[in-house]
Amino acid sequence: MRLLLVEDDRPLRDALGDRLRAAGWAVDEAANGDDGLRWVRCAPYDAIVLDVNLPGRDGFSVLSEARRAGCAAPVLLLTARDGVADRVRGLDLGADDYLVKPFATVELLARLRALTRRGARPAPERLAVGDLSFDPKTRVARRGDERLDLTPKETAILEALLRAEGGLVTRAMLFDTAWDASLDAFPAVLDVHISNLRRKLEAGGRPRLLHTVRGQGFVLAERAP
Amino acid sequence: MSWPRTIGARLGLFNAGLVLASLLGLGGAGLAYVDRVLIAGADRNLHDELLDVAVMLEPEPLDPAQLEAALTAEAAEEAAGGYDVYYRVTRPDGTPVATSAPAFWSLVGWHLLPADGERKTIRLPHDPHRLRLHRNRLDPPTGPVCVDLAVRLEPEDLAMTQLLRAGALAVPLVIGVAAVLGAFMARRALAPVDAIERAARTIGAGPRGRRLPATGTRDELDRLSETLNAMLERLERAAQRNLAFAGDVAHEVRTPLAVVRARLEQAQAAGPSPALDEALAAVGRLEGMVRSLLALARADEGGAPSAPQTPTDLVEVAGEVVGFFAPAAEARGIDLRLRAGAPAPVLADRTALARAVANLVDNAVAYAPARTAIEVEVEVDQAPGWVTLSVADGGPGVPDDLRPLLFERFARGAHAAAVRPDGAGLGLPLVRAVARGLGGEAEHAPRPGGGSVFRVRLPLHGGDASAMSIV
Repeated sequence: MRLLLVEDDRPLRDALGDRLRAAGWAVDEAANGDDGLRWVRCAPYDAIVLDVNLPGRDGFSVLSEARRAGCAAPVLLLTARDGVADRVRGLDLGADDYLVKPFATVELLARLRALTRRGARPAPERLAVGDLSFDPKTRVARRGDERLDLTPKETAILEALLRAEGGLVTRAMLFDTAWDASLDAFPAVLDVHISNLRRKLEAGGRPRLLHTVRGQGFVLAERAP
Repeated sequence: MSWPRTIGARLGLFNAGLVLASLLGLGGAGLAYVDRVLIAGADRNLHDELLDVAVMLEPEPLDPAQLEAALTAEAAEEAAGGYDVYYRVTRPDGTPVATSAPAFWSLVGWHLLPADGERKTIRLPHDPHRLRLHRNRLDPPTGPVCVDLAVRLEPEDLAMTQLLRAGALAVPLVIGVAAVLGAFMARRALAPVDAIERAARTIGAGPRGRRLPATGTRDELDRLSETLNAMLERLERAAQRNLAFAGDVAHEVRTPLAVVRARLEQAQAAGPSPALDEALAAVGRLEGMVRSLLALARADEGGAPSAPQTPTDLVEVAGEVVGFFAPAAEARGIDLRLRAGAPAPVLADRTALARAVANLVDNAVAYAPARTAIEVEVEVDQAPGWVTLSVADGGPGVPDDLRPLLFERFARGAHAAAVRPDGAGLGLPLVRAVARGLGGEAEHAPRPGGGSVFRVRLPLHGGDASAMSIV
C-alpha cells in the first residue's frame, strides 16, 4: 500500500514516516504543498496524509487541486486547529477524515486502515464475528439465537467495532461515531460503556469477543490480538 | 439617625438647611427692622402727647385737680382712638401732682423709668404687651415738673405676632419645596451616574466589548465615562493578549508534542518498558492540558468565526451528556437524573456548550459520594428570556476559602488534588468562559442540606434577553 505524507515539520514527518513504514506502508514524503501536488500528479496512492498548515500552498488548496486533478485516494487531514469550521471545510473539500495534533500514531494507523478498507468494497448486509451477528438496518444484535438488549450507544459502538473487521478501533473513533466530539475529553467514561457492552456480550458465560488493546483502543475478534 | 446614602437626598437636605438658615437670618433682621419702625411711630405719638401736657401746664396757678381732670380726659380720648396712654406729672423732688391712672403708675417702679428726655421699652408682669415710656423735665411758668408718659404697644405687638405667625407658616412650606427641588435637581443631574453604574455592573460578566454609556454632552460625567471606557479598552486588550498568548503557546506545542508521542510509541513498539509507559502517560496529560487551553482560548473568543453559533437545544445537549455519564455514575452507585421540560434553545457553539455541560457533570460524578443523587435540571424562564442549567450534587460542597477561586484557571483545592491527581484546574474555567462567551454566566452556590449547585445561565434564543443584546 502506497501512501503520501505531506507535512512541513521535519521531526514530525520523520517520526510519522518511520512509524508508517514500520506498519507496512510505502511512504513518499513531501515538505510543502507544491511538492505534495507534484507527487499526487505522478503516482497513484492508496492514501494521503495531508497537513493543513503548510507554508505557501496550504493543505486545503492541495486537497481541492488534487481532487480536481482526478485523485480519488482517501485523504486524512492533519491539523493543529480543532475548530468545527475547519473540520467542516476540510470534509466539504473532499477530505475523508480529520486528525487533530497531537495524536497517537496508532490512531493514525487505525484510521488509515479504516479509510482504505472503506473504499475497497461496499458495506455488507449483515455484520458478524463468531456467533455474534448484527443487522445494520434493524439494528438488532444477536449472540447465537439470543437477542442482545443494547442501548443505542452500545449498539453504535458495536457497529463501529464490527465494521473494523477485527481491526483496531481507537477511543477517538468511537467518540466520532457514537457521540459529540466534545466528550472525547472523558475517555474513562467511554470505558464504562465498553465494559457494559462487554458484560452483555459475555452474558451466560459466552467467550470474550471484545478485547482491549492497552493504551490504544479496542478490537472485536474471536481471538485476542 | 443615619446619614442618607444617596447624593440626591444629601443635596436635598443640604438645600433645605441652607434655605432654613437664610430664612431665619433674613426674617429675624426684617422683624427687628419692622419693630424699630413701629416703635419710632409710637415715639412720635408720645412726643405729641408731651406737647399736649405742656399746654395743660401753662395756666397759672397750677391746679392739680384741674390738671388731673384734663389728663384723664386726654387718656379717655386716646383710648377711644385705640391707644392706651398713661400720664403722670410730679415735682422734680418726686412729690405727685396729677396722674390719669394712679393704679398703673403704682406698678411702674422708679427703676423702670428712663432718664430725663429718654425713652425706654419695658414689660410689666401680668401685662401681655410691651410698654413704651418717655420721661421729660419741663420748666413751665407754674414751676418745674417731671412729665412721665407711657403707651401700651398693643397694635405694634399684634402686628409683630401676625408677622411671626405668617413666617412660621411660610418657612416649613418654603423649606419643603427647597428640599424636594434640591433632591429632584440632584437626581436629574446624577441620572447618568445611575446609567453608568448599571452598565458597569454588567461589564466583565458578559461578553467583551461592553462599554459605559456616553451621552456626548462633554460634561463631567460624560468625560468620566469616556475616560473609564478608554481604561476598559486598555485592560481588555491586555487581558486578550494574555489569553491569546496561552492559546498560541498551546497551539505551537502541538506539533512537537506529536513528535514526542510518535517517537515514544516507536520506542515502546521496539521494546516496552515501564519508563516509556510513564512518559506516554505524561504526554497524555500534557495533551489534555493543551486541548483544555485551546478550548478555553476558543471560548474566550466568544462569537469568533472559528466557533459559529447556531440555535442549540440545551435540553438535548444535557440529555446527551447525562446519557454519556449515566453508566459511569451508575457504576459508582450514583443516581444521575435529568429534569427538563420544554426545549431550551440557546445560540451557541454546540461542541463548546456540550463540553461545558460535560465538565460540570463529570465534576459532580467524580466528587459525589456513593449512593447520592446528582440532579441536572434545565429551566426556561420565558419572561426575562433566560435558560438555566443547574447541576446539583450531594458531595462535600466547596470550602468557603476556595469559592472565590473556583472558576480561576489552574486553581485547585486539596480535595480536588486528592480525587483527581491528573486534573489541571481548567474544567470550571472553561465552563465560565463558554457561558460568558455566549452572553451568560456560570456560578456556584452551596446546596441547602449539603453539596453544591453549579448553574449556567444563558440568554434564551428568541427570548427577551437575546432581543436586548441585539439592541
